[in-house]
Parts: sequence; structure tokens; C-alpha cells
Amino acid sequence: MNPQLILLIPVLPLLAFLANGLFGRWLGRAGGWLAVLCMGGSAVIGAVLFIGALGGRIALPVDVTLWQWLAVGDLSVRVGFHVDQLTCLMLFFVTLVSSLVFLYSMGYMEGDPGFNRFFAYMGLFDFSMLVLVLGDSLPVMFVGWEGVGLCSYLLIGYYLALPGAADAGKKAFIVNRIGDFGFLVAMCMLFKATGTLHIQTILGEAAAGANPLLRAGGAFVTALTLMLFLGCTGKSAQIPLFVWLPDAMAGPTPVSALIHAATMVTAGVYLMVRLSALFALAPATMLVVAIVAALTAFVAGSIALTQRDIKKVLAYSTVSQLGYMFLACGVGAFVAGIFHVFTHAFFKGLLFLGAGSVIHSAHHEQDLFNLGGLRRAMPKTAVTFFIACLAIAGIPPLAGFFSKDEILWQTFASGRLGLWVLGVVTALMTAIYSFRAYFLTFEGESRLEKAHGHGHGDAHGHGAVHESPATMTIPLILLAVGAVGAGFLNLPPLFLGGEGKEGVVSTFLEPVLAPAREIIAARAHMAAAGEAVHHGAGLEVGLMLFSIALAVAGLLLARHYALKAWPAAADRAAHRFGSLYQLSYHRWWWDDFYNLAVAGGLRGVARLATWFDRWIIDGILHTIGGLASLGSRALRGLQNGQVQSYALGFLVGVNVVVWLVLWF
Amino acid sequence: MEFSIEQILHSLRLTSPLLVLIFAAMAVLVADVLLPRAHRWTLALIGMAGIGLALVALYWARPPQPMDTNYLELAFGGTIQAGYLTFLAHNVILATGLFLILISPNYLAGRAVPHGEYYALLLLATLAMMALASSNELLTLFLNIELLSITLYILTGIEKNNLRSSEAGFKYFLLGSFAAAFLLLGIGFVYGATGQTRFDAIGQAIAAGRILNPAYLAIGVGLLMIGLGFKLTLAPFHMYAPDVYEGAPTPIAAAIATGSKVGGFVVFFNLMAIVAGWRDLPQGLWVALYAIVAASMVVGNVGAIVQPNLKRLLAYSSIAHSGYTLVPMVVLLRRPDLLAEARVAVAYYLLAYTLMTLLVFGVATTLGPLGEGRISHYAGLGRRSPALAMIMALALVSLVGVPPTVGFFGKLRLFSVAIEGDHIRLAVLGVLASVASAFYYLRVTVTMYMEEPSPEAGERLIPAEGVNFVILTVGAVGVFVFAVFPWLYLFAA
Repeated sequence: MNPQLILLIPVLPLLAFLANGLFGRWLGRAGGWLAVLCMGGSAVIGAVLFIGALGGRIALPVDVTLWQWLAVGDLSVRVGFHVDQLTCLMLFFVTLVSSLVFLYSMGYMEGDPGFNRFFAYMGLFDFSMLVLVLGDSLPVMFVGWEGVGLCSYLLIGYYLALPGAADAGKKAFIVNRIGDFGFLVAMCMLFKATGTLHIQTILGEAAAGANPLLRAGGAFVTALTLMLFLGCTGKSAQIPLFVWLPDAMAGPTPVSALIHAATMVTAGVYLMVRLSALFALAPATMLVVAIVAALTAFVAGSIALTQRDIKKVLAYSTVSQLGYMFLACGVGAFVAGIFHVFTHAFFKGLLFLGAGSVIHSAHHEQDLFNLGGLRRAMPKTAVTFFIACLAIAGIPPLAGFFSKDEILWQTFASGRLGLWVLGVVTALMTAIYSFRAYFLTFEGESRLEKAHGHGHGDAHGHGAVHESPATMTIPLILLAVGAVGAGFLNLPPLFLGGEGKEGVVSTFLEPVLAPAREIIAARAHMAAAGEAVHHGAGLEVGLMLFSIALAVAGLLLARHYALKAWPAAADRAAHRFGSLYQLSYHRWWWDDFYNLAVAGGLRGVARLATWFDRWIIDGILHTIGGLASLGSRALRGLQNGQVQSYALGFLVGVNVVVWLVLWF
Repeated sequence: MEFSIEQILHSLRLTSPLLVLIFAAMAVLVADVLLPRAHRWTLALIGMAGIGLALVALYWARPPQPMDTNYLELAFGGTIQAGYLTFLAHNVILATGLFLILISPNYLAGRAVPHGEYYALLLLATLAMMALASSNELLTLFLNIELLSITLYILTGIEKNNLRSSEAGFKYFLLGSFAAAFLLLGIGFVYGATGQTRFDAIGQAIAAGRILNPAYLAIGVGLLMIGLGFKLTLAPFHMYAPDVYEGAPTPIAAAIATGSKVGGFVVFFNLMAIVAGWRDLPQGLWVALYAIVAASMVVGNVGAIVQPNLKRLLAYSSIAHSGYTLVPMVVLLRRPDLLAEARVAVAYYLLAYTLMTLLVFGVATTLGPLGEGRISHYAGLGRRSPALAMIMALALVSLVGVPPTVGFFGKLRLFSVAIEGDHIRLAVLGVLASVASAFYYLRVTVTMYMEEPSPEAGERLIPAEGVNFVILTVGAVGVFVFAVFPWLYLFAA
């Protein structure tokens, strides 16, 4: 494949951005179609690249160096792209899911006054994400990283008139800045250690083990990877920085789908897998990652159980699923982590677009308690949403089953049983909250009329709920196909006939992840003195059946509470587990805690800083400024408009120069 | 000296852009006579065609690719040279000429300015700027600088019924003649000390130590610095600049601030590159240049702070930027080994400075009488003309040196040379001066966006359409494009 074609992948969304941003006013609806076309083009190239690479027809890795960007002292940054197996996989699903979201937006955003602004932002968003994925050095990656942050800010705050939207956008931006700080510090540390910011060179040094600062288990590399992980917690919404993601719901629903499925939140996982060889050198960091991730999965899953806003449920679900991905990375199963990113993109994209479809036709009603019984009116949305729920809950053979079960199995196999228990409990909660959302929305009696009152609106387009247009249902159906089938790309060895056989994606990613695996294996080898822990296939089958049973139990529980005995049973349960219910419903008071402790503490510091700034800094500055002003006035005095005095000044200068030359 | 046909043809090829401009200037004058009632765009179009042809000629005679920063060819017995820096400067100057001709017709409408003379002189000034950059011999240098000066004197005072314009032209002429005397004196001293007038021959004499009298040479170089320093508005030879910029028609002020300086910078750089080869260079020359550069950065930035008039503010700003541009040349006197880095840094800054300054002047020109006066007239421009205000703000931010604009990367390159060449203090001074400059540049931005329009300026919407808008937009895009893709201009990185 021609490397120039790879360049088109990020360039096409950029084109969509430029066309809609500059000429949106004249393009109108055509601008949206142009964006869809551009993104679709990217997706086609991404798919050709991925399939070609899978079949071995395209030799990887491909490096494309574009130009020298800056050279300061020892630091030299080239703008270049590195395409290896990991990049291909990312490019494939990012462009695919994005193009479907673009198509969907054609229906969802129809008639919105900011139609072209929306598509411009979306194009820039995807461009940034693709630069992040493709960049071959940390600064280039950081450009994408920041670009994604900026676009998320713009898109979350897209509804200018919505009161909470601007705040939510700001929150996302600020929380992400904290993470970015970690990324920047890590970048500086890497530069100190290796003298370069080129990712492949750094990974090579990490794998070679010759660099004294990158010694396995060393303090420097541990601090460095912890800083990187701080960056990941910002972008990928982990404890303690996950609070921005649920608020990001203020943006239009397709944006949520894009943020949660294809772009942005996957960036942290991608970064960790990309730099897996570094993380592998720091077992302490890996442990921290695993613990934080398992806790995030659990906490977010428990919050999702009781939320009333359908988008909030899905948002916490994303946080929880991201926890799974990091859990996998934390126990060294990077393939399982990235594969869950891959499958999650399909079913989470589907869930969000399905929710958007509901919101679109139910007059912007997002409260689950006011929905219900929509399956009859919108069968396509209901069926695809149900498929997504099956997938996320882990019912075989849908995508989520294979990817999530692999993570749980790897966690179990790593011997961290506490984390495994958290993971399993989260799996049960996943099934409950997703089916709860499904049943409350699509089954049972419609509560929409009751909530909105009768009789009004017949004349104002407040007609009956109806299925969304084809531009919206086609992406739903295509994503459903992905949610069903994506799991088969990486079947566990068990299904493939035993040890030694690996799934397609595992084999595919082997060249990228081999260094990390070897580092971890070497350490395990030393620790266990050659005694590899071996689990039988029987145990694996048993655990698998156990998690299927949990998923089915979750489905039945949700059905009982949300459908059969609604709302009496749910109320009873809420009362019986009063404090737990409150804990979950109020999101563990996490935001309130931040408001009180962090924001409050910061306010105190800010007050002190203001005082210092006003009296000390400003005092100094005003003095300097005053002096400069005085000097300026003095110069203006000299500048009296008289040619004679100008000539005099000139002569003074001549004298100074000549005497200087002669004296020294 | 014997010339062969080949040499003459070679020389003509190297100077073909200049020749094209001469013919273009004549064509404008002839057309002015033949078509007395021509539309105001007709003459401008002829001028544009001339510059377009000159650009074609420039590429016909371009250096071999890929370009080497040490590339040098001589023409007409060594009086004219073509090198890396010269070639890039020619690009910038021609682009400047095109820009100025494009924004002029709308500006001249309704002013008592003879169009034929205006365009012809503008073309001749462009030619003189290019020729100045090509000078490789002291007398050629003097002729070119006089050609440039005389055209600019006339252009400055071309608005006959405007007293300020006439006054500015006259002041410029008086002080310019004054400076020319020092330049001539310097030429005499240098010739006396080395017996040579060609730059390359002087360089060989200096490098080989064939100097008749080192003190004469030092004084001569010092006087050349002064004479050229007048053109480059270096402190303390800058004092004419605010008055002249204020009085001259705005496009002409732009030409004085950008193109004429670009030519001057190239000659200055070439001279310093030669002097840097002097093994026992008198300490005093370095001290003197150091002092001039530091003074320019300080005077330019301090002086700009209280200027209520935009064109005066730009004059001081241009004094400061001349200081920045000369930083690598100060370093060069101590560290001749940094020649290549310094040359690339200066070449890049020529483009960066010209682009940013032209954008600000371009917006002022487009706004007409309103834009040329007090900064307070810009109040509320953000609402009255969002596009123009945006372009202006972008150019000002770039002048401050905020990434990711050309202004930032230009200064980064200049000060990097200083740091590499152990002139840390000069670099620190430059950065501090840039910080101070943020005050007055951003003050204009604040005025545009945060202040209510004054009653005299009114609430009237200013349409930003037509040629001016297109060319300003192109320039504004360039502020980013050349920042990210410097090789588009530098060819060799």
C-alpha cells in the first residue's frame, strides 16, 4: 500500500473541518454530506489497511516522515507517522465508528442552527484523534492529545444556550489538563532518560535494558510511568479524574458516542499499550494501574445501577468498561485490554446512538422513569439496543463476552483474586444496569404521556413517538453487526483447540507487544524460579460458565425490578438498601467531595495567591511599568519633530560608535 | 576587465528579475501617458503583471536545487551577487511589492496622488530593494541605497495636498542625506584600509591579514553600520522613523518598514559575515554593534508603550524588530563558525517580520483614514469588522511571538543562535523585550475587542470585502503555514 494513502486517513477529516469551518455558511447541508464522505473515505482506507495487514499483504511497520518540525539544542522533533499493527487496529475501528457516527449525525443534527459548526468540530476531533494514533513521537502524539481535549471542550459546550453545557465543557477541559500535566512531566523525564522523544527509539531502549534510568523496577521508571498513567486517567476517565466524563453528556448525543466509543477516552488505553514496554519495566505502576482500574470499574458500575438519566447510565458504564481495559493492562494482558477497546467501540457506540435515537424521537426526554414501551414505536432502535446490551453484559457469542471474559480470566490467572472478585461483581452490575436501561426504555407501559401531560402539542409536532430516519437507523444496524461479530476476531485459545493457538488479534499484535511480554515473562521467570503457574482448561471453562450465569442473572434481575414489579419492587429495594442506594444515586458524593476538598482548598490557595499577586507581584510590575512609561514619555520628549534634534541624536550615536571602536 | 559573451549572458540571467522590473516601471509610465482616463486598477494591473514576470524570472535564475546555504554566484564582474539569503530576500521583497500594489488602488481612491508616478516609483523601489540585497560591491551598494532612498523620499511626500506627507518626505530626505554622508565616509575608510571595494575581495584581504591600517578599517566598518543602521532604524539612528511612518501614505510606510529593511538586512548580514573573518577583530566593533542592537530592542519597545498613534507604534515596533534581527549578526562577530545557522535564522525572520508587519499595515490601509490615526479609532472593531479585527489580532499576537505563529518560530531561531554562540544575556534581553512588547501589541487587541467605539468612529460596520480581504486572509493563513512548514520558504532546513 502506498504510504501516501495512509496520510489521507487524517487529512480527509481535516478537509471536512476546513470545508465546514470556512465555507459552512455556503455549503449548508452539503457540508454535512461532504464530512460524511470524507470520514467514509478514511474508513475505507483504514479498512483496506487493516485487512491487508491482517492478511500479511502489507508489510508493517511503515514509517512516514513528513518534515522537521523544530530543532532546539539536542531536541529535534520530526513530524512523522508510525504505522504498525496496533496503529492499524486503532485506525480501523476509529474511522469506522466515526464514519457511522457522522452519518448518524446527518439525521440527528438536522435543522440545528449550528449544523456546519458541528461537523467542523467533529472533523477536527477525528483529525486530532488520528494524529494521536499515528504520531511517531510523543510531541506529535501530544498535539493530537491536546487537539482531542480542545475539541471535546468545544463539542461538549456545543449547545451554547444550554446552561450546564459550558460548565461541563470547562470541567472536561480542566480535569484533562491535570492529566496532561502528567503526560508533559513524563515526556520531560523520558527526554532526560533517553535524549529523544521518538517512541520507537524509546521502546527500543526500554527493551534493551541498557539505559540505567530505565532499569526494570527502578524508581525513575516507576515515577515516569505513574506520571504517564496520570495522563491516562485524565483522558480515559479513571479514578481520580473520571468526574468529567458523565458531565460530558451535555453535548449532542452523537458527540457522546464519538467520545465514548471511538475517540478521546480510548486514547489513554492506547497510550498505555503503545508504551507497554515502559510500563512492563515498572511492576509497582502496573499494580497501581490494576488496583485503580478495578476500583474504577466497580465504583462506576455501582453508580450506573441507579441513575435515572439514560445517558448518565451509559456514561458511567463507559467509565466502568474503561476500568476493565486498564485492569487488563495492569495485569499485563495488553492484548485483552486493547481488544476490549475494539469491541467496546462497537457496542458502546451502538448504545449511545440508540439512546440518541430515543431522545431524538421522544422529545428530548432522557429520564428512564418517564420512558418505557418504546419498542413498538421504534423496533429497529429497540432490537439494536438490546443486542448492544447483550454484548456489553457478556452473553456469548457477542463481542463483549470474548473480550471481557479474557480480561477476567487474565486477572484470575495473574493471581490477584481480590481484583478478580471486583471484576466479577462489576460484570454482574454491568448486566443489571444495561438491561435495566433497556427494559425501562423499551418495554412495559409508556410513561411518556404521563410525564408530559395529555393533549397538548398535537399541532406542534409533538406527535407520537416514531422510528428515526434511515440515516440514523443504518448506522445502528451496522454497529449491531459489529457488536455481534467483533468478538470472533480474537477467540481465546480454548475455543481454537488448545494451548499454543492464539486468536487473530493476539497473533496480529504480537510484534508490537512482544517486548512488554518478554520483560514481564523474564521477571515472572525470576520470581517463580522456573515454576510457571499453570491453570487447567477445566478451570477456565468453569469460570466462563460462571460469568455467563452472572450475566443471565443480571438480565433476570433487571427484568424483575424494571418490568415485572415496576415500580414497587424497585422502591422497596431502594428503601431496604437505603444507604447503599443513596451512595450509588449520589455517585458516591465524588463530585461533592471534589467541590468541598479540592475546589475549596484551591479557593483558599487562590485567595492567598490573589493577595500575593495584587500586592507583591502587581506592585513590582506597576513599578516597572511606571518606569517604562516614564522612559517612554522621556523618549517622546526627545521626539520633538525637529530635524535638528534628530540629527543631533544621530551625531551622538556616531560619536559613541566611533569612540567605542577606537577605545576597545 | 574583460567580459565574455557567456559571462554577460550569465549576469543578465542572474539579474533578469531586476531588468523585468525596470521595464515594468517604464510600461506603467507610458500607459499613464497613453491612457489618461484609465480605470484606477489598470496601472495597478500592469504593475502586478510586472511583478509576476519578475517572479517568473526569479525562478528561472534560481539557485541549483537542493539549495545550499553557502551558495553564491557573482554577476557583472562581481558587483552583483546571488546567494541563498539574497534569493530568499528577493522572494520576500517581490511578495511585498505585490501585496502593496494590490492594496493600493482602494487606498488611493479619492486622494490627490498621481497614479502613474505612484506605481512606477513603487516598482522602482521594489527593484532598488532587490538590488540592495544583491549588492556585492561598496559603490554598487551606495548606488542601490540611493536609488531606494530617492524613490522612497518621493513616495513619502507624494500626497501633495497633505502637509504631513510633504513634511515627512522632506524630513526623510534631509536625514537620509545626512546618513548617506556617513555611509560614503565608511566606504572611503574601508577602501583606504583594504584597497578593495568588492565584498569578496575585502573578505579575502581581511582573512589574509592584508590590512593597511586596522584602525581605518574598524572606523570604516563602524561608519557602514551607522549608514545602514539609518535604513534599518537602529537606535540611535531611528529618530526619523516615527515621523516618517506617520506622515507617509500607509502602503508606503509599509514598504519602508518591510521591503527596504529586508534589502538592508541582507547587506548588513553579508558585511558582518565578511568582518567576522577578521582574526584580530577589534573588541570595539563587537561592543558597538552589541550596544546598537540592545539599544534598539530597548528603545523600540519602551518607545512604543505610550504611542497613541498606530503608525508611530508600528515605527517603534519595527525599531525593536530590527534589533531582534541583528542579534545573530552580533553573535557572528564572535563566533564566525555559526555562519550557516545565523544565515538561516535571519532569512526566516525576514519572512516572519515582513509578513506580520504587512498584515498590520494592510488592515490599517484597508480601514482608510480611520485606520491610520489614533489607536482609539480601533475601539469596537471586533464587532464592526470581525474579519479585519481577527487578522489584525493574529498579526499582533504573532509580533509578540506567541506560538504557533511565525513570530514565535522566527524569534526562537534568532535567539537560539545567540544561546548557541554564548550570548545568553543578549538572548535574555531579547526575550524580556518581547515580553514587554506584549503590553502595547495586546493593548491594540484589547481596544479592538473590549472597548466601546468612540462617537467619532461610530458604530458603522466596515465591510471587509474585495481584494484587500482576500490578500489579507492569504497572509493570515501564511502566519500559521510558514510556522509549521518552514521548509516551504527556506527550501533547505
